[in-house]
Amino acid sequence: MKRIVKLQILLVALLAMQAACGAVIEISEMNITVQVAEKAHFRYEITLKNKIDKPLVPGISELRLQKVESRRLLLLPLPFGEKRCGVDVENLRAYSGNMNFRSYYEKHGDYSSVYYEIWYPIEPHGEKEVVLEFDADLVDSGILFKSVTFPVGGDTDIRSLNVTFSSDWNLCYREGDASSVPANHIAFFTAEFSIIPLPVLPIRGYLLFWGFLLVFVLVAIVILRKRKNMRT
Amino acid sequence: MILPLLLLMLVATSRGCVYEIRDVVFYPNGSQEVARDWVIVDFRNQYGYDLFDVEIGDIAKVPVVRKGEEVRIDPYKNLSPREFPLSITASVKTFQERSEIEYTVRNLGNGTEVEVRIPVFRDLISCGNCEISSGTVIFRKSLEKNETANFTLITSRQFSVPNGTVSFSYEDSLNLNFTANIPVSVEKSKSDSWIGIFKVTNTLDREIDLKMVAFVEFQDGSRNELFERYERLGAGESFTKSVEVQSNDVPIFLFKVQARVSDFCKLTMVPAYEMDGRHVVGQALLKGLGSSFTPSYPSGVWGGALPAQVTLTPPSTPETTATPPAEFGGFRPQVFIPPLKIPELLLSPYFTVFSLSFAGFFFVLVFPVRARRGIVAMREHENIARLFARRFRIYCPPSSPIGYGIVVEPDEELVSVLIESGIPREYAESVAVAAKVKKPLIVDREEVAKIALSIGIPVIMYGKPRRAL
Repeated sequence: MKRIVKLQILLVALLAMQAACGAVIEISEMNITVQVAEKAHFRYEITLKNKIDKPLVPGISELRLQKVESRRLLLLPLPFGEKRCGVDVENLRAYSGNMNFRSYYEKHGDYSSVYYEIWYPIEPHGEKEVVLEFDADLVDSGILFKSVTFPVGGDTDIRSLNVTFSSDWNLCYREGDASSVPANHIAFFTAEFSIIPLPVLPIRGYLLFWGFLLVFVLVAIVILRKRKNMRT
Repeated sequence: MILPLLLLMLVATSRGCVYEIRDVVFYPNGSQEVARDWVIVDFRNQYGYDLFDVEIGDIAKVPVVRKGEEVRIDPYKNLSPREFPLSITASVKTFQERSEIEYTVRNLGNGTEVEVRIPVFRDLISCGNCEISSGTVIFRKSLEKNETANFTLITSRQFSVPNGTVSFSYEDSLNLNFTANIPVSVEKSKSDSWIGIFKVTNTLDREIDLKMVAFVEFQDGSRNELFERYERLGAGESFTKSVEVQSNDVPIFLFKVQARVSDFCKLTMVPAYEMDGRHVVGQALLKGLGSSFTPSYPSGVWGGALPAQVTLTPPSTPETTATPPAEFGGFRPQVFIPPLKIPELLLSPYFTVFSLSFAGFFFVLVFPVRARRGIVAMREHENIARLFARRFRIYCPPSSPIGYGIVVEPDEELVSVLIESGIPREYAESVAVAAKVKKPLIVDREEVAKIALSIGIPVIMYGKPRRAL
């Protein structure tokens, strides 16, 4: 039996190593595609724009990942209490056309960092598209539902943001609709999928599950008390 | 101006080959601090023919660069930081109501154009041997080796000079070696003995260095070396040699040719400085300086007393001891950056060149014909592979299997690299299988054959006749 583990995923994206205003460079467009299966496959298509009139080398960029696991009662995830830890990343690649960039990740205790290095200059006022792909164990999988949650943001302006989720299960919940993210702001995106052909719901599936469970228990208690009263 | 020229070099025409970028800060006491030093490759094949096994100094090796193709390589290794052969020193003369800051720029390397830019600041009165334009003090001078130039800032007695920038670039050359296709032929005839005529023609527009080894193989599997020669052929020249062999059986003549062309490639070294976590290329930071005290003078004395001459140290002196810039010239970066991850085992020290014929249907055997050997073939070459099936094991890739063949899983990393070279997946897998099992490959496409040969895989060309190169 597949173990039911509720994971609340937190993915913090910081798109510059140095804490700076990011005035010389911005992300003119960012398309994130998340394919949710047993693991989540992330594909970031990042268009870096050089805002100054001189060639600019982006250097080292960083993306942070963190897994937030919920506490469990036996196999059932509880909607309160959590612990945070780093994430293992696999199949990490960073490239632009046929130019590959060095990419690697490191675990730092309660989070992991994905680094990609670009040492080729971007022409003045020019743009460069970089693709970053990797697999991460960030999917909160259950018998009926699986979900992934991650924030996007950093110290660089993101002018145009587009996030797409896909899975072989049905999308039953989606949260987050930011189309741009200013520097030093974070936008959260959540998607939940169900093996049951549910429509898009206004609340998370696991909350629905707990709601039904609670209602079921209350109804059962009421019915049992009534029967007990009738007998007496 | 230096900067637009540099932009042109880096971005548009890219007549350069290798760029070395150093993140450097110059201090007005003549020292400099290099934080990071890295190399990028921006090589365009302007030779008019395809290049193979391209070696750019000690920096990079590229298996194939097509005619007109541009190769850009982003590095993942840094060089040991080295200082530029340029020093900028500031000395201050303080008078009663003003100070004079004299900057001395000394070039110890090859000739270069230096441009120093300092933002106009509150205490600035005027400048000497420089110009003030659009709110910037600009000093620009072409300096030959060991040449020195000066410019002066006239300021109020107390002053604070802000950070500025200095632009320059140095050029050097790197060895560029590559291989190109040249026609090689082997003709066999018989009179009293078997005669093999070996011929190589340099059809390129420059000299080539040849290492040639000829063999003869017999039906019993034995092989004898006929000759080994080293030759340098000029453009248009040919080498021909005939050898006689006594044999009752029909011998097979083999000819292995290694041809290398030597040329030069431009190395351009440019500075960069860090801004907001990124690196601005083409300029280095020039630290400012300020006055922290005002020397006192006897009252009533002005114009006649000797001025106090003070050399100020900048506010933040680097921890590392400033060393004089080293003599510059003949620099060779010590890093190898393989752009494509082809296993080293596949880079054989020589390759076998197939010969082309004007005759009709043909194929040329350039590998030893031995019993129980193997060849690699795809499904579309099944008919020709069947000719070898009796005495050879037939290996095939999983994407194009042959019924009587042995399917071999190729190295996916190598397959990806080959696909990036522009050949379809099934051909990439067949080349990778041939590399894995170390057997010759049957192929009918010229570009696939070239790639296979470049990584040391013998090739059996199969198909319509082609014109000799």
